[in-house]
Amino acid sequence: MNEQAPDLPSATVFIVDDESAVADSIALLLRSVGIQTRVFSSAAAFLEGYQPDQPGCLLLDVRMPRMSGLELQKEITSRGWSLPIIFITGHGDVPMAVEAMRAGATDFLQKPFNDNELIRRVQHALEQDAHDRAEQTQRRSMLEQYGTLTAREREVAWMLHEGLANKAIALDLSLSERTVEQHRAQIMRKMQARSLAALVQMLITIRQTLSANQH
Amino acid sequence: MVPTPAAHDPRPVAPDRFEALLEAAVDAIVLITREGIITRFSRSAEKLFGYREDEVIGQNVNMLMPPHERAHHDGYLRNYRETGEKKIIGIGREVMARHRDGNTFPIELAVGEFESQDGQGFVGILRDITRRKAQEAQLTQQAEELRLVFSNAPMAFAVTDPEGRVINVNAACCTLFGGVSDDFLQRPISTLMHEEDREDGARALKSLLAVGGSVRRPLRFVDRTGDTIHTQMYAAVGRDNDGTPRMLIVALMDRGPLIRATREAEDLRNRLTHVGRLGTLGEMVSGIAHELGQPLSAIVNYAHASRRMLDNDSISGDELKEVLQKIAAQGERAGQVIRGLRALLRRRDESREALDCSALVREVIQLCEHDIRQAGFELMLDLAPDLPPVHGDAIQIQQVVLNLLRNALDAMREETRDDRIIVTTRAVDRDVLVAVADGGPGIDEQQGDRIGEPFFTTKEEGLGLGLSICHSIVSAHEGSLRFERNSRGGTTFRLRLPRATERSTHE
Repeated sequence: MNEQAPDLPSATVFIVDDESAVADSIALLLRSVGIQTRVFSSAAAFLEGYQPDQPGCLLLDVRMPRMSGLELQKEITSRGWSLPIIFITGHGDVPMAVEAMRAGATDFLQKPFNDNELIRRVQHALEQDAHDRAEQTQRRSMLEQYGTLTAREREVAWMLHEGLANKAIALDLSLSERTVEQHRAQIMRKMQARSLAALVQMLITIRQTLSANQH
Repeated sequence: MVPTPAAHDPRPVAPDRFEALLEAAVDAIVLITREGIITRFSRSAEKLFGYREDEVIGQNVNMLMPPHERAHHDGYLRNYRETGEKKIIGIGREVMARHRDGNTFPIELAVGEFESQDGQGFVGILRDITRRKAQEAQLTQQAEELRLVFSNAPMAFAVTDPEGRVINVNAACCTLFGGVSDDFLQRPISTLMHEEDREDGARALKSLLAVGGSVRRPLRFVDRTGDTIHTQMYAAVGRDNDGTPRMLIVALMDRGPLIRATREAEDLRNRLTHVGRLGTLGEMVSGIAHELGQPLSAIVNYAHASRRMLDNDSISGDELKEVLQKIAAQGERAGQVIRGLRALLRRRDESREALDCSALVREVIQLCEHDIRQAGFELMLDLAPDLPPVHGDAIQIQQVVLNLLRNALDAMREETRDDRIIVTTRAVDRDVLVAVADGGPGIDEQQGDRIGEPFFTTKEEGLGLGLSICHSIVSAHEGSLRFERNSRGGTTFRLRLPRATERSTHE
């Protein structure tokens, strides 16, 4: 497995809040435990200043003028950016928090919150982001590997995924059993699969990714 | 003209003069025998009754009377003949007569007795008093009408003699003071007046008697139980033909109900103001909670951050000082919000003082700035420094400004033509102007006519009391509240309040 270890220092917490004092104080709190932060005073400023490959998480005030936290969340989703979002809500904003969670928010923090709670949730979100990014990287390399398979190899691979034995595949494709053996070895090598089970697992992920991309 | 009994016998003395008298007398003259038979009928009698003399000579005089009096007349004559008792002779009286055409009419009748060579008889002198009777009846009716007006008038009336002693009062006066008319009679009217107003009232009536005309002034009286009666007193003097004052007519209008109604209206306005203020506050509770929550959470975060940084020695003294400074600033910000809230919530009676409208606006802004920014709008302040003071109740004026700001915000939420709310204060002429201009859809003319009416609203969730309360506050401050379409398509509300005068500021 090509898994990266979570790299916390390079991750940044992006704080988006129109209340400069609140944003500033949260930033100071996170810096006190060595977390890197960046403050944006509006949703628009964040959309402009953020690069999608920057790891980290988003700490977002639900209520903001012009573009609200929920609207920013929608925009981020539609741009295909993957960044865990922690919403900060006032105590009257529970319905908003529920909506945010439904729309895929990672977490929400209700004001007033405790510093430990904030730090814990932020660290959790950062870990999740690192994990997501690692998984994404892995998935991307898997797709690349799949891309190197020939049409025949793919055919054979999907039949293996369906649980067919070499003999059955040879019969189906009017090939010799030996040729099927050769394809199979080629597939295992290109996909860097250590076992048939690992290959099947990869194919499941690939199919999910492909069908997700089609939608 | 009334002949005395046993008067002259005209004919033997001067028959020609008697004939001339019968011809010329304005009053009708009828001669009858002791039995009542007509012997002479003058020219004017012919005119009065419609008979010629030759038609009545020899007839009983009762033919000239309405039928129901005829029998009485015969009785009178008989009675006089038998007893000599005079019922009418030499006295004269009003009786009814009958014209040839059957109509009856009132006459004044004088009767004399005479003796001549033809024998004894009576002379009757008759005068038509139809017109006089009609005039009398009219006067009686007028007097009766006046009496009815006086006694049934809802206003209290008292009539006094020129010395101010009560000679007549009406029922309303008795009701007002609590008593019967005998309680008032012969009392000097000044003794009914309130101690503090007595000198004043007595002087007014005295000068009225001297100068004439009429007097009209508020004056307090005291009723039977000692309670004060607030009245508007109207008085006029009645004079004889020669101008001598004969009486004073004093009318008292009870101002009690008016004063009570005014007080109730005032009370209601205060209550409405409070309700309106609470309503506005209710809408703003989440805004205020947010407004307080922000500085508080910033303070908490700063404090925790400092503690953690002190724990791992990662903060310098200067950095810590800076953070503490930020904490203090946020604490003050929270304090301001609470002060503003407290002042707004406190219900107090109108307390008027000299006020700076720019400062009032600045305070109010704190309570809705967040909501305005939250809605994505910009708040621009153009507040004149050194405004002349206005005299009024700070909370009430702030209530008006707050309402205008909320209106502006609501209008712009409905439709935004321009995202700025502009608040201006200026000294204009003798007034101070506070203008709130929005960039909303503007007010159409139909709505414009109804704005300010209680319970009129274009908002789905509004009670419609906001602007009507504003209007009553503004008019209590002798100011004005107008609106107009502004160049950005929205509405500008202009609140004008009169500058405080020297006197009112030092009150």
